[in-house]
Amino acid sequence: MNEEKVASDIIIVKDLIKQVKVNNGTLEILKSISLNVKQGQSIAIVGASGSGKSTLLGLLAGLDSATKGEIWLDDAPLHQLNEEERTALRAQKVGFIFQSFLLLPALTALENVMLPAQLAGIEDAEQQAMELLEKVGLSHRDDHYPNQLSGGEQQRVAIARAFICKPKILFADEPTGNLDGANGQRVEQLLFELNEQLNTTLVLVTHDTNLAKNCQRVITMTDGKVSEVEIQEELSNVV
Amino acid sequence: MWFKPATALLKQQVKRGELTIFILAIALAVTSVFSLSGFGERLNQALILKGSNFLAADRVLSSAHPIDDAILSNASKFGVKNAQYLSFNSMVFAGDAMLLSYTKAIKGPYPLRGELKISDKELTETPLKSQGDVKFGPPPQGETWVSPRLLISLNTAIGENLDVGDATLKISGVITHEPDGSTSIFNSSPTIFINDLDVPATNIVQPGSRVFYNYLYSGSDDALAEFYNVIKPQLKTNQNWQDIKGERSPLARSLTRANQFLLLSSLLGIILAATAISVTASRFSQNQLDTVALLKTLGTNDSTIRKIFLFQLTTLAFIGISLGLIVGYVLQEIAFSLVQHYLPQTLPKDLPSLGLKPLMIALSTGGICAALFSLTPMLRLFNVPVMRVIKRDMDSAPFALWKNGIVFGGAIFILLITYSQDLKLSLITLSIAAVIALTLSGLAWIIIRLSRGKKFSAASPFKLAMASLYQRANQASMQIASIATAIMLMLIVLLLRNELIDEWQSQIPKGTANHFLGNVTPDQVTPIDQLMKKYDVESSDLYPIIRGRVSKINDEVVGGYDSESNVDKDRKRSGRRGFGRELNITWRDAPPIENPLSDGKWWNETDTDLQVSIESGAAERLDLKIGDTLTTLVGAEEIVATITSIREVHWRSMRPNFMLIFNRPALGDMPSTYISSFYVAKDQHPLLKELLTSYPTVSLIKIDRLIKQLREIIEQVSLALSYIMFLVVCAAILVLLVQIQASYQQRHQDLVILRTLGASKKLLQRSIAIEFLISGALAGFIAALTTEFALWLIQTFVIEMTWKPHPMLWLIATVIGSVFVAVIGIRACKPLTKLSPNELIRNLS
Repeated sequence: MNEEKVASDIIIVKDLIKQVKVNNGTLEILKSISLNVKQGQSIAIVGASGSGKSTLLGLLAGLDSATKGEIWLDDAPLHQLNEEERTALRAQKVGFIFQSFLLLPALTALENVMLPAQLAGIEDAEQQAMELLEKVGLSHRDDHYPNQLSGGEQQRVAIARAFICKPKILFADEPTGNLDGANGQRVEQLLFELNEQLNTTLVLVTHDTNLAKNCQRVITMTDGKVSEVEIQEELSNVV
Repeated sequence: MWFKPATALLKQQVKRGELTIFILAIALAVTSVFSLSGFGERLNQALILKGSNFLAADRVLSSAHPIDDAILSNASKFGVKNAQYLSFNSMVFAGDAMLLSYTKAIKGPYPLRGELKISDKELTETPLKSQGDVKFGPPPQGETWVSPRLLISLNTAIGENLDVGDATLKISGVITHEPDGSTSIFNSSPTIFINDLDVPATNIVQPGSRVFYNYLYSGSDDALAEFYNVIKPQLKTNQNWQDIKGERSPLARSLTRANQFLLLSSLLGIILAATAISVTASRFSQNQLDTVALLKTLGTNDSTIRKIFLFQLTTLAFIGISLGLIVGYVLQEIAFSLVQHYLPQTLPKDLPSLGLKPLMIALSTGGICAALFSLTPMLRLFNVPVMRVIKRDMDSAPFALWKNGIVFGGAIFILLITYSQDLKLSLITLSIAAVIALTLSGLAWIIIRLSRGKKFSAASPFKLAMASLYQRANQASMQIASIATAIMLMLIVLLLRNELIDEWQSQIPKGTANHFLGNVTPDQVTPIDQLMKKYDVESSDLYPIIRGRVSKINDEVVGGYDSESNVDKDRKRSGRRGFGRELNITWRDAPPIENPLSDGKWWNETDTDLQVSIESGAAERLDLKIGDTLTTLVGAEEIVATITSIREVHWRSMRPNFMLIFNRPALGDMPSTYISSFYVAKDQHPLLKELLTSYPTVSLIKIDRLIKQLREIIEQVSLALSYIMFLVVCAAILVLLVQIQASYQQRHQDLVILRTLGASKKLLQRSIAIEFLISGALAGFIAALTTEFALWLIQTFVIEMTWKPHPMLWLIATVIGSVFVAVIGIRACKPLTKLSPNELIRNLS
């Protein structure tokens, strides 16, 4: 395996299979997927509902464990780690953005942004959080609670939260799915700006053609298998 | 048509387990009401069965002094029948054995109402009441009738002799039924009947002896009223006219009151149960919004939807009520068997069945709880717009808080009225309950809000716990208030049971008197004093004791009653209550050593003017100063004395203590008996025997026994309060569980986000544990605060002890609160900490 691994590959997936038990047997959701992602790359995973996109994202982020196969995340063998070890790895190297923002309602915007940094034991979390809020244009609303913010603002807080640990990899699940056009564009712009500034690898699942087009690579999932769309123009036909 | 989907939906809800709390909460409310009202009702019926003639007459005039025959002879003018008896406590002897008994010396055709049954044969196994013959009037001169218990205690029999004071009487019968028998739970002296003509021979009744003259009357209501109107102006305020209508036995009255009090206190538990019902119903309705919207979309009409959900509600209520009735029945049976030991001997053995009343009260409680507390959530459910199937955020508007408050308060008020059948009492209780609920939850809310700071790292378990509490501040404060109520009750029981008695007992130094000696005649004073010296027993001085009542302060008439049922309102309003009753007063030359003077000067033996010394607490309460004059009524004589000194009295010192001590010129000539207290060690017990055999007319009271009796009373009160506490604790657990259940979804989401962001399992477990520890500790803290306040009130104004803080109370309350809530909370949230972060993508995205 190691000899096949290229130095700049931050995600390496080999023969990944995910099966779940159903009433009358097993259902294979992911069918022997192999995939390499380079450091700093942006990659969009597109596909129809039920094609296995979210399952793949969950496995890549270490939220779930595969039935078979290997996943290497920044040289760490995810497939060999238990849940606690995967959690610790996430705290160090991974950031998340969700369609429904998923901010903790009991914490202020600032506290939400600080949270992953504090979980990872970063010392000047507050200062960094303020800087990030500044970048997403919300420094004046640092003491507001999520229910006092609009959807677009909540997602900008979530982006700040995602970048605070300077994660090597950022996973985004339909980041603009719950936003209107203008807010969606603003969020998209921020996402790519920060991605570039911090040299983060971006893996996102989306239905949004424009968002997918802005990524360097687009992976299509069909019935648990992946295929890569090389030509940007063809993308519209896929999504 | 609607039945099948209704049962299918209900089955699915029951399977999810969310409705268990609904059923349990209804069951708890029904259990508490059914057990308490069932117990009370049976006891009441048992006492009523005993006969309504507790007085053995229609009216009884009782007095500590004989009433002039000229007044009493009016009775015959109005065609009112009369009889009388003299009653007193005295020691009786059968050979060497002795026992304190309650003696009734009868004159005339006693009883005027009810039956007196006497048996001259040995008692059989058949019910006591069915034995013996009905008698009227006293036993023949030289004979006595005694209660069965006396025969057993003294190991004697019919035909044997009984010494009563200096007289020896023959036991010629056993009392098998006494119409006005002593019904006090704690009065354990057996009764003996003697002929009034034998009283002088006993030598017990001396001037100043503590005896009661009871004059019995019967006749038509009109005749009795006319008779009373004629004698009323001539009666003294210390002469008591008892009316059977207003006066049931003191036992029945106190039990009814106690039971009503318990029933109202159990309302605390019911309110908490109702809170649980209301929250579960809200959640149930929230969960069913989609179902109802879908049913409406599919063309189900409103009436069918109503039927479906009313069926579900009725079924759940039925299960809850049935469960509550079963548990309640068992509990009241247990309660009855526990108190039977304390009931008067004369209570019929075959106790009445439960009757319908408790059942009706319990059923209405269950019904009201199920219907009214789930009314607003149900209405919201029925009003859900059909468009919700398309736009999921569309919802029927929830009821405004004030509307919910009105429904909730209204339902509680209906329950209160059902229990107390007293509008004023219900309004007062409702206000108190509302104030307690608002204060407790308000306190909790303020503390939670104040504790929100930025000092802690967002990733510290403490910060996460506080944030979670803050997020649910309203529910959390309700939850904390319920737990605080439970802890508060527990603390009160704990303190009542241990601290008050122990504190009292610990204040009694070693060698403090353990016996009181009373009814000592003036000629016995010197020989008894010598007897004490012979046995080397140290006793307090012998104090003359005289019954008197203060009727005026300076020129102002003070509060009093001219009969139990006829309160002189103007006098009662005079503001100087506390002197309305008869007091034991005394006179002395020298000041009592143990009563230091706080003001004024003790009199000289040579003073000839009438003077009085008053206890400092009474002086303060009644606003009395040196130089004020007190007019005291002793028998028919009025004594006007000037207050010349104020004394500090330690009431619990186990010595003869007096509120008023006069000088010799004031009371020296009054007939009196003497009392004293002394300490007898075990090896000095022969003194007691010699004392009682040489002076059979004196009465000897063992204080140890009094303390034991007091302990027993407090044990009973504690037992009753413990039961209420048990109900409240159960209800508080239900509220806690239901709140956790209601917050489950939000907690689930929060924990999954944290887990996804890299929070370790340990951090989450700690934050949950800390959250519940904090809310429990808060509940404990608030409970300690309110209990301390209640103790301050009780100790300062009710039992007049010096209040001091109870540091242990705060510690115990906080520890109990946090452990109690943490154990339940952590247990209930355990599944949450086991979640895999994968559920985030699966369920929440």
